[in-house]
Amino acid sequence: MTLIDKNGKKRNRQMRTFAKDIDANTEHKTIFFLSPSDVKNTAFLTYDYSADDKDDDQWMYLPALKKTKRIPASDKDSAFMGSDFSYADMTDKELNDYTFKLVKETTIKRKEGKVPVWKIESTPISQAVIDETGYIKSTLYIRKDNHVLTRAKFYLKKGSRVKYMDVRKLEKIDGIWVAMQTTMTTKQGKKTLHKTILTNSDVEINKAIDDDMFTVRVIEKGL
Amino acid sequence: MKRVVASIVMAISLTASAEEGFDDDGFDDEIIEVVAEHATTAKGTLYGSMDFESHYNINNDKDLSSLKALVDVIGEYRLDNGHKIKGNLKGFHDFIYSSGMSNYSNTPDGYENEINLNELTVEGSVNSRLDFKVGRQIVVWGKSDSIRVTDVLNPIDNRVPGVVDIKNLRLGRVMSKLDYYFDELNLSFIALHENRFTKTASYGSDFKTTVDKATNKPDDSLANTGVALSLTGAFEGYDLGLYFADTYIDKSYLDVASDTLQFDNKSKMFGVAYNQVVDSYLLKAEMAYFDQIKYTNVTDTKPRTDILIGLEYSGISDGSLSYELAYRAIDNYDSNIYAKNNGWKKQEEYQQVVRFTQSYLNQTLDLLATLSAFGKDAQDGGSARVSLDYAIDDQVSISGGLIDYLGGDSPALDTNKDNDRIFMKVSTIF
Repeated sequence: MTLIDKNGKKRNRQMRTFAKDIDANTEHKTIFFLSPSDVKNTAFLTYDYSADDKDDDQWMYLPALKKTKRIPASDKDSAFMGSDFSYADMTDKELNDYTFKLVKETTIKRKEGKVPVWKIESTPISQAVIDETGYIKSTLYIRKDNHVLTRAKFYLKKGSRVKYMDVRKLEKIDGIWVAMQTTMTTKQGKKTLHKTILTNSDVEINKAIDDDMFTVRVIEKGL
Repeated sequence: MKRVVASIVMAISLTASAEEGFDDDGFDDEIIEVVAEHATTAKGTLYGSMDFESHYNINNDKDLSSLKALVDVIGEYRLDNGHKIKGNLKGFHDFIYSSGMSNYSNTPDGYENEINLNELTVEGSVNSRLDFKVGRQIVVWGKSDSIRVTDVLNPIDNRVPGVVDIKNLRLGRVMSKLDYYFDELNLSFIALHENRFTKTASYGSDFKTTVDKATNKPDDSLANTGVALSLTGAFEGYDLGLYFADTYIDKSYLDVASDTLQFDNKSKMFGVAYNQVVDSYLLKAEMAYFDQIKYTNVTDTKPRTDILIGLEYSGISDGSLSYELAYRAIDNYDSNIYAKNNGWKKQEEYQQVVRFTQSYLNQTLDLLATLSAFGKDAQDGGSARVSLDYAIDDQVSISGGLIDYLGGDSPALDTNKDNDRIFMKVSTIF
């Protein structure tokens, strides 16, 4: 993850993540920070529940404190490790929390040429969803050829800011489309305030992972 | 069932080429090309930090009170059998005492140079349910963040209260630890081989004006080995911990006849800690019962009960606000306990801590404000601290702040009130 400020100064974060779908409504995920050294061995464990009546469980291991701390996961609008991605962006969306309106059918240009997309406006159904994610509405660009969200504009509730998400590289791995590089740019008007580039490598899908990988024991021991 | 493994690695090289989108609608054309490096798991790594820290006293006549260079090195090595060796070496040299700029008449013991092998462990798994960790290590108990109630296993560095960097606060202790995992639970058995105690202020420092007394500390023999047990669990929405320790607690008393500080204050501690998420709040509760504690000028031992409640609010974007209240009660109180050599302990004591954190500029600038006060109405004294930390880049950060030691009804705290200071630090990581 590369963080770029408005002056072009860059900071890099290196992570390794594991995720597993436990059932139709539950995903378990661990994120281990590898570098820089001041965040090395910091780790997150998230139990992401899709059910409306259940908040996610989230713990963070802090190596400087030698302690695992539970994090209230109902407020996800904070920046994920200083990036332009929020905690909400790092977890699955609950479709029932939004209403959707097809704005138009259009095209965007990619390396492979013009790509047809549906431009869809997404509106949270309640103030609680707005408070949780920090977004008052979103514009989503869904590719018609593979149904992948390829671009999005997220309108923030604070400071008339807009975040632009752009999937720059897409790869089909084991039959599943995976965003290999995604940029998230925070702007106020036309002015770029900050940008994050999230790049995946060595992605493996449908590999067996022991359930023990998603425990407090593992985030405390590290990789 | 879908399973996904993803590793994410970053390295950057920059090129730009125009990419025109038909429906750009504010999206950037620029492409920043990232060359991904494959994540490799090295068998051994060495990393850490070098800091330069300075304190300037505001109210007393000491002025510049610290010009310290600190090094913190962490080494990790994974053996072929999967076991891991880990060490943490810390050291400092305070130039203030040899600089000629010092207003101190003597150099307090342990204040000019220090080398501390704070951790050195071997850890591994016996089987899928059983882990071991042997060596000097840190084990943190409880759920509170600002006040220690059940967190009794490791001593701390309290030579400059409220200012010691969190990564340097806890002192390692030689232990043998076995962890058994089942369901959502973790049962730990710990043998405490080393009897190490909190570092408090030495004579000649800002926080101690009286001559250090002789000390008598229990040795690290087999007969003095302590025992600790914990059963902790992480569940949907809440965490729970049950604790037991039978060891020398981190509190000395004065043997008046020999004028010696005795550290043979062995006690059994029974503790419980709980936290629960409710919307944006994290509720925290802890309780610890010590069956016997020795005090100066008191013939019999006294049981003590500590209770903590806390609330942390995380509904602030990139920030949090927390409050913790601790209540400590000495059973069968003896009025002789309220004396200088017992730290002017009352039968009932209250401690309150308010803590506010806020990050700015994509977490390059972090604000921390803490108010710690003793007494039901915060009348006994305490401290107020505010600090800012700014990450210049991935390697270098600067920080600075102010701590105001608040005087009050407690003579033990009131003596610190003139030690207010400004502190600054430049930190480089490697």
